Amino acid sequence: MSGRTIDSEELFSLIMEDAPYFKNSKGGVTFSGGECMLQHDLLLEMLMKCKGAGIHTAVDTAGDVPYEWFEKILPYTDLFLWDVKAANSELHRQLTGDGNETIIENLKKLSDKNARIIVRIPCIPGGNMQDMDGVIELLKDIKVEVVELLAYHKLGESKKEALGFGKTEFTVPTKAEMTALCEKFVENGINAVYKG
Amino acid sequence: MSAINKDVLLSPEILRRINSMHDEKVKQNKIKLEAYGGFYNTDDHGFIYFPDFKYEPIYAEGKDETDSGVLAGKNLRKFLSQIPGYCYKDSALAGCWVGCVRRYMHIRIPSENLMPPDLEAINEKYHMRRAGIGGTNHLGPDVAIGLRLGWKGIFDRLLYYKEFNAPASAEFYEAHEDTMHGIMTYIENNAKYVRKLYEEEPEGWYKDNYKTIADILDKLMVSPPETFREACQFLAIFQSVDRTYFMGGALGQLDELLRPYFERDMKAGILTEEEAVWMVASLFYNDTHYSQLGGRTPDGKKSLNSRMSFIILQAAHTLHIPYNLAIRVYEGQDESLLDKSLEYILEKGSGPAFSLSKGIEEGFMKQGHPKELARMGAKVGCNWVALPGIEYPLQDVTRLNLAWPLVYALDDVMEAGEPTLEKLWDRYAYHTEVMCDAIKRNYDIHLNKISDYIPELVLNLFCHGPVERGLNCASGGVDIINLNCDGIAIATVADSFAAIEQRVVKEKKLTWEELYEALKCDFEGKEDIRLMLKSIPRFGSPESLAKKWAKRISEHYVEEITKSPTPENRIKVIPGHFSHGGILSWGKYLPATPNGRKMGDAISHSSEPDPGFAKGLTSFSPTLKANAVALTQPGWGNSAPLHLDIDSDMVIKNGGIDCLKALIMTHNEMGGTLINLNCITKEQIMRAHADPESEPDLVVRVTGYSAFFASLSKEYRQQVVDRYLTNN
Repeated sequence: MSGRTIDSEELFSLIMEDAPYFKNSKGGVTFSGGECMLQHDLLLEMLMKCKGAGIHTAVDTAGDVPYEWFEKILPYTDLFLWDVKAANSELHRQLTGDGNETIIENLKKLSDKNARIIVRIPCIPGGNMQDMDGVIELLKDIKVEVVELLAYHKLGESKKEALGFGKTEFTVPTKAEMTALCEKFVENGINAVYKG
Repeated sequence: MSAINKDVLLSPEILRRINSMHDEKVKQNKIKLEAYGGFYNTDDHGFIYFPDFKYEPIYAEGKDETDSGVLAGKNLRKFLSQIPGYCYKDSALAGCWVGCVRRYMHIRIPSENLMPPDLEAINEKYHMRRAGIGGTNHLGPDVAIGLRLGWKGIFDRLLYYKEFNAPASAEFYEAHEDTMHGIMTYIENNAKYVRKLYEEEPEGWYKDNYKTIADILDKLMVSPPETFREACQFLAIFQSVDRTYFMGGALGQLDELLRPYFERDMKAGILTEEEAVWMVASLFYNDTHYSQLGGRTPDGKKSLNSRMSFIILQAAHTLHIPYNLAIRVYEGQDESLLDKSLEYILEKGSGPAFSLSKGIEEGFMKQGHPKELARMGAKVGCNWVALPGIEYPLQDVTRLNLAWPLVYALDDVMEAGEPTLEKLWDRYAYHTEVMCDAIKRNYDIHLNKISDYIPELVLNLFCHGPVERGLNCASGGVDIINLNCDGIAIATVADSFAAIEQRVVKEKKLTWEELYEALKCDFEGKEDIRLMLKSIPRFGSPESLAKKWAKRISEHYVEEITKSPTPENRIKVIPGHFSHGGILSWGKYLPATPNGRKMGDAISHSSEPDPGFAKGLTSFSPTLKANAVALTQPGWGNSAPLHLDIDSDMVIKNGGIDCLKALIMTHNEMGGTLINLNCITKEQIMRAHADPESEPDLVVRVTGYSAFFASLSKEYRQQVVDRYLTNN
């Protein structure tokens, strides 16, 4: 684990170094984390600066923060990348330590405000795979641009162990399982993709 | 006709022939490595090593060097006539070169009384070892002249103008006549050699192939090439011959040179696309010389991307040996050729370079030329672009190590007492000016002497003017004469100024005296000071002091070079920032510098940030590096190249071809001039570095040129590895 403290001015100057490339790459800035919404004041400042410079902005969030914080950043955010880990709140609590009520409520509110949203779902056998019917039911009624299904992988395993969290008991889904799952989302009218 | 960008489906037989040439090239490379002491830090160059080849030079009595252009011509004639015939069995073409004449004889401008003592002292003081005198071959031929006339036609033209201009320029014509005799004998020898192979070969494809080649060689003695294969054979002879004479002989806009022959033969049904791939691969097997693909017509209205461009690219890619193609990039272009070249680079790790139009063309226009002429330039050297056949640019042969002015400036301010940063800058500016003025005087000597001693015996034949006027290209043979000079070690100097400003002036963590003492003892016992100086935000970091200094240093250098022409001949000098690969040798005698560099360590590359500049700053530094190089472009049409060595795994993760394309297009828009790109995995480069034998055919772009990684010295390999490790 590593990182360093950086103020908004330095961060923005770093972003601006790459700004000329965004036009040709059709790119922009994605604020991620951890959870970037936990630094919502700084995030707002950065989003405003980026929009002022004509840079496309995206916020990658788990959504588990007060809605007021989203309201503040909404005018300056072009796209939300939204994690949905489970529909069942109890399962969500088991997996993450917290229920999902706030997350779902915020997602619905932002969707109602016509925010551009890409929902991303990590698909974890032994974790949330058994809850996917519930996720489909949930997302049927929420307008999002696309749902990206992400197959669980074990690339972070060594880091988890190094941090003292022990080994994980989850398995990696097969391509066939992921493809079938994706088809199920699509059959239910959800614009889902699995990129393999 | 297939879609313009579709790979030609190669039959097993064609693939076999190309793979056979690949294997033979790797084998030849091993032979050369053994013969030349284990490494050579240039590209493969395509020459064939003949252990028994010896050459007895022709010198005037009592001398051990040539003393005239006439004697240079006599030697070239003799040398060419002694090169053994060569034809690799699976190639479509014959001919090779055995090495540059310079390796076998002393052919140079005599050094005795060459320059006044004061100029000699300046050259010595500032270690100006690429000082502008005696540079050869760095101009672009218009090979179309030769394709149109054929060898006999070129000879006839020479004889016509010899008579027309007689008795003027007698020596010029004599030297070139000898050259032509040498070339004709060279072709004849190859024809005889291949004819012999044909006679000895049992019936079958090889016998037929030898016969075809021998017939083509016989024909090329008397006629211009008519078919695609004949054109390729003509080019193979041209580059073999011109390589022999000071390693010149770039081909220029290769797709446009070959397109008429390709289209005609395809229409006539006497050529298939896969045969064309094989023939072009044979041309690259013959030599790895510089040429360009793509671009646009001089009026800017039509793309030069053609089916031929893609076939040439595929041939080089399939052969997979070092090659020096460049793709011309410009805004609003048809991107299909760019896409294909990036696809190939991601597949095999390296491929063509990218010559960027905006910076090159706008810079050239600043010299007072129209944009139509600027568009005609072709990348025909490591870093440089030239107008084929009409320009004498002499790029890439003259350099100033700008770290020396800094070293002397520090001595000056410390000796004078009460040093300040601005006093240091003033002295640095003074010493840089002295160097720039000296280069211009050196160039006058070059212009006054070169045509008498080392005329461009081969390239003159492929220019518009020299033969007609009886003048060497450097002496009014061609209409456009530019001289170039590269200021190098930009980051070394910028980081040094920034380190002094931050640690000595602003933070006062060091006194001037402590700094100077540490430098004088090469940081011996003062590692803490060295690390303190080294750990500032270095050139390439956003909004850094070093960035400001780099811009100032580059702009000052450009101003010093462009503010006046050479004092005697009044020829303008064009600034560039290209160090080539020799950063270690440029640093060899340079004392410790305030950027924390120890005595003898390498200087920085061209105008690039030093490896590791972005450590801890960002996870994806190529854009920062590209920005730094764009910021320090000299802006006069000469290049300051950008080397990008990116882990291919990371490229794929970050958007693959689209990400690379965005990087290239943006660098073009920002005024960049050239991108050299390597994309292999970090693991592969590390493995090859540790055990070069394990990757005998790994090809990398070193600086402007491409080479087998295994053929580079450990130090040169380390340069590439450093760039990989710290860019990612």
